Amino acid sequence: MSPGDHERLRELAPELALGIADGEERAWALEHLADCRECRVRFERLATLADELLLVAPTAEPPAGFEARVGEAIGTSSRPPGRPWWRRLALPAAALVAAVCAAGAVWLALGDDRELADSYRETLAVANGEYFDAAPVELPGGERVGYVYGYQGRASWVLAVIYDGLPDGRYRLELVTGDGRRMPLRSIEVADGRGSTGAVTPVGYEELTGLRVLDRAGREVAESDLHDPD
Amino acid sequence: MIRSPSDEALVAGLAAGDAGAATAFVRRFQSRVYGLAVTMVGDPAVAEELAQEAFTRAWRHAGAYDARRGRVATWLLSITRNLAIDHLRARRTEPLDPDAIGNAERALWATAAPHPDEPELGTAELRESLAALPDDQRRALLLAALFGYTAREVGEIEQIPLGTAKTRIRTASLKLSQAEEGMR
Repeated sequence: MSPGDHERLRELAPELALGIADGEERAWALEHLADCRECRVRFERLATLADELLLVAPTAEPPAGFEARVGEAIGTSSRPPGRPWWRRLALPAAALVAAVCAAGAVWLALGDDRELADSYRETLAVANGEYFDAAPVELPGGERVGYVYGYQGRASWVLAVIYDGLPDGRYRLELVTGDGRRMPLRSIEVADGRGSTGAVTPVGYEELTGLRVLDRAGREVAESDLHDPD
Repeated sequence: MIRSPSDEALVAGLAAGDAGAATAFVRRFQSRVYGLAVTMVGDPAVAEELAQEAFTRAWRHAGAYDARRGRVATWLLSITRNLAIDHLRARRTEPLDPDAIGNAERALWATAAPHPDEPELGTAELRESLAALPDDQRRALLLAALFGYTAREVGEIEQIPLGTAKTRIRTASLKLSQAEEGMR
């Protein structure tokens, strides 16, 4: 890290905070911020300001029936409020464990599963990992074009794989956090309908809620709802 | 006197699937969310769709909301802004309506009463600081903050060099940030 890096960050910070810095600049800045507390404090002040600016926008009453329509959209969705899949599996898994304990004979029959679980635990233990995850990448119409694989550990990472359904070309990937922040990931080159890329994520995987696939113009062409195996 | 639940309590209820909390949450923030959406996109029908989607996303991701990272209103409005920017970017092939920025800027100064349950957001000082900026700096900042235009695009719209656009955005941001600091 050179003194010039701090100056470069200082110049870039307002655009970064407003979410308008380009992909390469953002990637560089996030890397610098991860290692520089002083710049991070300055940046966080600007990021807070960018958020506060939204509060200045005028209020306006939506058309009649809006509240009911939102309620209907939420109430009729088949998906419950966002809960990571491992938490959704927690109760069924506990019940399964209890049943296995009660029926000792079944224990032997589950030998393969136990080996798999041991292997899984050992793999996770390599990097203080907590879990793996997989979520589909879908077009706006719901057509599945690939998968995102994620890992939550000391260093969290994602691997995005496109296997069909996107026109050939270069796409930008963007991670979305639960509090609405967006951070660039690497670009992905799709050739013959296929492509893949992966990287360590700037925040823990558990903080991420989505991955967006953007075309050259910055339009979203597909997205993945992370922690959602459906 | 019955106290209204805090914003954070409503989000927690939303995450837990509590229908009453969901209704109260929508009721409390709908005028802010719709107001921001309609300011940004101009079209009431599109704004309603975006506002509805913003609430749906908030509901789906309520479990991931972290109060340490910011208040509920800014979290929800960030979701709305991102959705509106996606919509605007998809239309970026069309030339910008020269009146759009002026209308949005005028709308910013329009006063409207927030929902009575909504906590005081303390934005009066920020409005004052924004109003005190030179016009060219304020426009550059609003183009970036509300419409998601990059510095290059701001330069094209304002017909100024890229460096000048960057300077205007940066100067305006730093002035507001310093004014905010001075008030604490």
